[in-house]
Amino acid sequence: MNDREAFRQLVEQNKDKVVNTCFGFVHQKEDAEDIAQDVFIEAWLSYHKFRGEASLSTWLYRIAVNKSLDALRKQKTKKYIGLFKTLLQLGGEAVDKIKHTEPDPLQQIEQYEREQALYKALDKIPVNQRIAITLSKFEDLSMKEIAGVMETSESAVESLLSRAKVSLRKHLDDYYKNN
Amino acid sequence: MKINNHNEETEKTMQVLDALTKVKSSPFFITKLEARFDTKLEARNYSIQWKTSLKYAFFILIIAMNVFVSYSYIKGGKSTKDTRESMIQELSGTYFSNSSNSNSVTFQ
Repeated sequence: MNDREAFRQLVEQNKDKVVNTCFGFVHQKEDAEDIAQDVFIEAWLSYHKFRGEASLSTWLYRIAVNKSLDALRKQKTKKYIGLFKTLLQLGGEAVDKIKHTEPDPLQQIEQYEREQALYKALDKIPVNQRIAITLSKFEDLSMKEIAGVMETSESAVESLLSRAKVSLRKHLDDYYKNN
Repeated sequence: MKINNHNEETEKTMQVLDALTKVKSSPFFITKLEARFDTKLEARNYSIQWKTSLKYAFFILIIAMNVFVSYSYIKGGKSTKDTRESMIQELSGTYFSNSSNSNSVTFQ
């Protein structure tokens, strides 16, 4: 198997996981795909650094989390410039989802609005809690797997997840009170 | 009543957490990635070539400077010796013209 085929296989096996994880942080599919591409390029170029202590997917998740957090930091600096564009995209996505999906559009709108409220709350919680809950809820990873990605213990992950839920509930509560 | 409403909404939103929409990569994900990867590799190779040529240029410069310094040193050394010899000749001329013949000095 040559390098090109090996690379293709690595991407084929992990692309959805990586895109979904990145989406958990940036909440925009195009941005998530962009970051996922960076993840695979970095993974390939720094493959010699992979020591095999963790599984390949854990290593990829780790790169995906770091790349997503980097992208979020960059996004913050561009926040005001991109605000108008983001608003337009959100509107487009909402209409798109409703057009192409399930029979009950009202339920779809409600689901979409709740997801948006949840994403806003997710953006406000501390980074460690955010990583833990994103990997748990977007990727359905087990405590052990999350602990592997975050290089911490399972009990620490458990505590992070429960604190994340408390923080989310609080932010959502504030959000609905004000809206 | 209003409090109940927002509590209910919070609960419903928390339930969404367990049924989040999963995103899948677009069909041309790999094609786009490969194109990007090739561009990146090309840029990387170009920068490696550039760095290598810069390294060679630096080494050549260092060698050229060494040769120049050595040459200057050797040349400078010769001229100093010449200067020293002519000064000694001058001094000996002055010395022998002023002193008596019994005080002879031999230079080696």
